[in-house]
Amino acid sequence: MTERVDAEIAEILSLTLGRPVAAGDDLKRGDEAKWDSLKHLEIIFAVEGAYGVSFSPDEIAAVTGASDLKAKVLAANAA
Amino acid sequence: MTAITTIDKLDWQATLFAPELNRLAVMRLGVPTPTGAVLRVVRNHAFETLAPILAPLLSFAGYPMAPVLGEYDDSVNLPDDAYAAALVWLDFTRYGRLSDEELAQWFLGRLDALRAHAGGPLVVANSPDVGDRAARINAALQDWASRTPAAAILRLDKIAQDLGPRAFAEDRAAVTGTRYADPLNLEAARTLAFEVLAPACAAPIKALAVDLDNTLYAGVLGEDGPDGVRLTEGHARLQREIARLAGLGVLVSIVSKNEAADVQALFAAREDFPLRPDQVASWQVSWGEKSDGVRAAAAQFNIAPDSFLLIDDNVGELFQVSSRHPGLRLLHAGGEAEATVRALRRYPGLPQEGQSFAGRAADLAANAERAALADAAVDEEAYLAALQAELTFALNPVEDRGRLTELSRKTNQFNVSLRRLDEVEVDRYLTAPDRCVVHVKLADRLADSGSVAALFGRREDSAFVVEELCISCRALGRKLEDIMIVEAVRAGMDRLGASRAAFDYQLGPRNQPALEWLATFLGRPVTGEAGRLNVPEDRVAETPRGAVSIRWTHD
Repeated sequence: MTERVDAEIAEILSLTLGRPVAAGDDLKRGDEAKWDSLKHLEIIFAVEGAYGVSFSPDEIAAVTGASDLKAKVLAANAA
Repeated sequence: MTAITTIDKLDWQATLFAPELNRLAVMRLGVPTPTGAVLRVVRNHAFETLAPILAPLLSFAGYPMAPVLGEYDDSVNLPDDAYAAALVWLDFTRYGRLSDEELAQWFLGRLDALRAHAGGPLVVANSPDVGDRAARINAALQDWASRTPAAAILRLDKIAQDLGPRAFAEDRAAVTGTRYADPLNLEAARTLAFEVLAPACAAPIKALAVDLDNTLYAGVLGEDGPDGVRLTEGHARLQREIARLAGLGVLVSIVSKNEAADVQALFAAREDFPLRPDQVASWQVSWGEKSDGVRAAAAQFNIAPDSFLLIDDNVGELFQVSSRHPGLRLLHAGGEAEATVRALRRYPGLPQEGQSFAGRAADLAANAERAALADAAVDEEAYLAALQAELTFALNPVEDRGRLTELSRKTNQFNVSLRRLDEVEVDRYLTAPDRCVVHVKLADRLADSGSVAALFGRREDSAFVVEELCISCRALGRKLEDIMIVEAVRAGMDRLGASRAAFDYQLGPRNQPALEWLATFLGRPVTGEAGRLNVPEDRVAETPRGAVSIRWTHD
């Protein structure tokens, strides 16, 4: 499960930001110039659509990188 | 950027016609945002996350456009830049200070200003909210669209109703910039691309070419026999959908590699098939190439192969036919029949609710009898007398604006100048004092063909210049062209006070029949890519009506 989530989150980031992202890379929003507020929403919506999860407003704001996305997906699946 | 091919679109089919769009699946298609034509979005809340989803949808539909977003603007200012189409995307709850009446009056005024500002389709997203205020603004919008050229409503209310509570994410509006949730936005993008813009932008699909084995039913006729092939619930729905389209005038051909006698026996035996043999206008059943079958059906229907949608479960066959007939559209019927039904129901270019190509199949069926009449008649006069043709003319029929636009946009073979007018341009011909339009309807004793021709003219000095002239292929072959055109030109000259006439023409890939008619009519060759030719005075001195009945319904 974890590996699949890593791969798919990397794919979402790669497709949204238009550059390769390796599975498991903890890409940080602050380190990636293209990861602006609009791309952020596209990423959130893509993760929501892919995994059937829902981010609260606070959670959307709190996502700072790939690891936060992964944690949300895994937590929802564990619940 | 590599050009997107018909085959590429086959790969996108499952994703774009899924019961619900999935953002990641659409992103995986990797369709670049097109350059060139612009879809201008006038908005007061977020649209950004719809933009990347629109690109593949519009590219699939065949009218790629790049969404260009204005700033958030509650006052709906007019855009400065040029655009091919515009979408007004407003959250009406932001106008709480205005009464319902004030809001409708102000907003419709802004929409009229937008309409006057530029041509091209103008789409307005209505309110997805429930309640009296939303209902009132939506009713006002619907009324505005019905009387405004090239205007259409994107029915967010309908999408929101289908989605229920999933349509809104009010608690996230401060973060996302909109109260609308992603499922509402995704479906809005698809509806805009496939349904709302299609009537104005999509090349019409006039005919279906439908495979049999594992497409129209489950199984292989040659192996399972007429009683052995299975009509699953999905296949029954598919047949009903094809029959529904046939009822709207889409011509249906069966293009199948089978024994003709087996297919005849199949349809005779299977009374449970919702698609009945009399709804099929052409049977192309043989062991030859399917591209030849499509070509033969196209010839029989008097339309080009690129007006067909081919439905087949075999990707190889789809490739083969597509390679021979560029522009022909494809629908892969592999997998569940239900998925094919979904795609067929929303395929851009097919007639939608309220639209119809009615009369076409009846006309086609009557063609053989017309040919027999022509063979039996001793001369043209006798043929027209036997046909009992009746032409009905209307000068500037504003209520026919939509159909007049269709004639200009969709007529290929008998289209003299290929201007491809949109509704706004048609409206100018209908209303400007130096222009006029003549709309022609046709019936004969065999069938009522309905609206078949349009002539758009403008006064220039002393001349009535025919700037656009289209006759539907349904009306061709009845020796009525001269009568229709001369009567219409004479009416135009009379209306605009012109003393002579001229025709603009333009050579296109398929309008040779129109230019051949023009050369014969004028008694001189039509040369070059485009130009204007004067009409000898005696050619329009009198309508050569012969045995044809003519009547006028306007003016």
